[in-house]
Amino acid sequence: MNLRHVANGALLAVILAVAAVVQHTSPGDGGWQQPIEVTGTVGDRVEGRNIAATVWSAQVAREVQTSDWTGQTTGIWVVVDVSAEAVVDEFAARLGTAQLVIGDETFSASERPDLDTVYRNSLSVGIPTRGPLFFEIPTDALGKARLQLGIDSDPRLDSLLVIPLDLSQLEVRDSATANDVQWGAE
Amino acid sequence: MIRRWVPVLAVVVLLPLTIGITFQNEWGSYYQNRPSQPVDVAKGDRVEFGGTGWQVTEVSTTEASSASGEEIGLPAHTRLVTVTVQVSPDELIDGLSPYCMASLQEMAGDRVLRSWDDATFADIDYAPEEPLEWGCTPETTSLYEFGAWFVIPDDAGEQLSLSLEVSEQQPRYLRLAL
Amino acid sequence: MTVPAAKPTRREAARALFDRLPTKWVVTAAAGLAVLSTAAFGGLEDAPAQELPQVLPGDTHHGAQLDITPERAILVDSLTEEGYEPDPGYVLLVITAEVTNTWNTPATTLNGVGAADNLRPVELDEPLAVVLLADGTPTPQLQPRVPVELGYIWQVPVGSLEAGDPVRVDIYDKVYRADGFVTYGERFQEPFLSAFTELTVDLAEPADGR
Repeated sequence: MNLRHVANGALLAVILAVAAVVQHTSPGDGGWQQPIEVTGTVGDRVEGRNIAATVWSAQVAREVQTSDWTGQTTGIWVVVDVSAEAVVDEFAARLGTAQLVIGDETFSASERPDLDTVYRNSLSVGIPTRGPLFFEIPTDALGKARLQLGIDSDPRLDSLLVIPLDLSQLEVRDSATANDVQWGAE
Repeated sequence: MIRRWVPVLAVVVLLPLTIGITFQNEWGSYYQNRPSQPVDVAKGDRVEFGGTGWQVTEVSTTEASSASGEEIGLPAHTRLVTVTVQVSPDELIDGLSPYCMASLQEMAGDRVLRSWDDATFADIDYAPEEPLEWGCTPETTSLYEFGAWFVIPDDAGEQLSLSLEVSEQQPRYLRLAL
Repeated sequence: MTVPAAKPTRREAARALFDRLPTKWVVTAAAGLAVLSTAAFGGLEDAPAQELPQVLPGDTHHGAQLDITPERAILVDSLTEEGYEPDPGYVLLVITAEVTNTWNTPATTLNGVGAADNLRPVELDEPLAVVLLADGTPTPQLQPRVPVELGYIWQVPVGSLEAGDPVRVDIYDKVYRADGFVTYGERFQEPFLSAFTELTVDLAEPADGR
């Protein structure tokens, strides 16, 4: 009889220990809603569920120009040349999330260039749209960054493309001119 | 004797019933309000759907590299697919023929691989020629034909279907093989 | 013969004594102690009303999320280039300020949720628009630690303000809230009056469309 009690007690202890481990390692409220990250490098085609993108290059400049706009800032500009396309369907498919995460700060792509940026452009399945993304950041933030791209402005629960960029390695130009947005370009 | 088996019987009956009812409760409206039940139509066939007759009468493809493709301004490595659909409205709703949303689907057997929305706002120089309407036209209540056109990458497969969604008929929708 | 009762213990004696104490006395003593303890916190007098701090034009107000430096108040007939035309009988009042987002995520300049709520001339409601003065972008996003010059635009009846008039502008701050039960993500909400500034109305120079 005594052995059975000991065995029951041991089993109970094991179950409690497992329960504690499960509780501590389960994702919290925010955790289970996290975006599904897909990482890639500059020059690679990075593909998620319904978004695929290739980052061609990044530049740093004090002033930027497009065919219809000149951008001045009290900080500094990071211009990223990117192609993006949808993968399976075009329902609500647009480049809705474009962020630069540097340290613990998050910067969103600028809407100042209006139509001259590919930010928030609608995406076609299998047909890339190529254009610039502009980020305004403080001058002391030129360090290691993560470029994050996603289909919806709320990146939770869907693919988030992550491309690391080392901004400290880029030459700081006085001005940079960006190309127009082109549908169907490589 | 029977009394010993009553609990077992209860589980055997109640378990599937519980699962079924819970599934219906949670997912019923999801599937109901989506085009989730395709009505497949073989190539060239006419079908009665939602009180209206539908039939694909013409399909044409223009490659970007061709002369007409260049005139239209198709981006490199794409093709234009134009579909002509004949609509014969029989039963009108509020005096109007049904409105449909068209999309092009790339199929692999029964599975949809990719789908494209129509190219109405695409940056190309194309429009269906008179007397074709541009997509479904509810104001036209007699027999008419409309053109639906799509710009797709040239790596799209051979098996393409035109999908027509009529919101009153959801979750059923028409899938016309091309 | 009964067993003689044992001598009561100290605990039992105290218990008996307490039972005989009238309840009223206990309650009054407790209340008295509570009132006496307020002496440690300034007694029962009213808390002094805080004076609303004034921010001079060119000085910075540091809020929880935004640093705001009010600059000018400008009266202008219209901003046709940017697309802002007042209704007939109205003119535009533009309050300019340098605003810096001191948080670590972008801030909006929308009404009700963003920086449009943080500056409000007395007696006016939501602004018609908040624009970036550098290029006229409406409702720009404020990036962390990048100072920008914003123009807050209201329409006011013709004649209500003249050049040289003072305009009192309230400055609001907001409260930080982390992830909510049904809401996702942190936010700054519940604007509360934090400071004010007084600007003198200028008329727009002809060349300066802003």
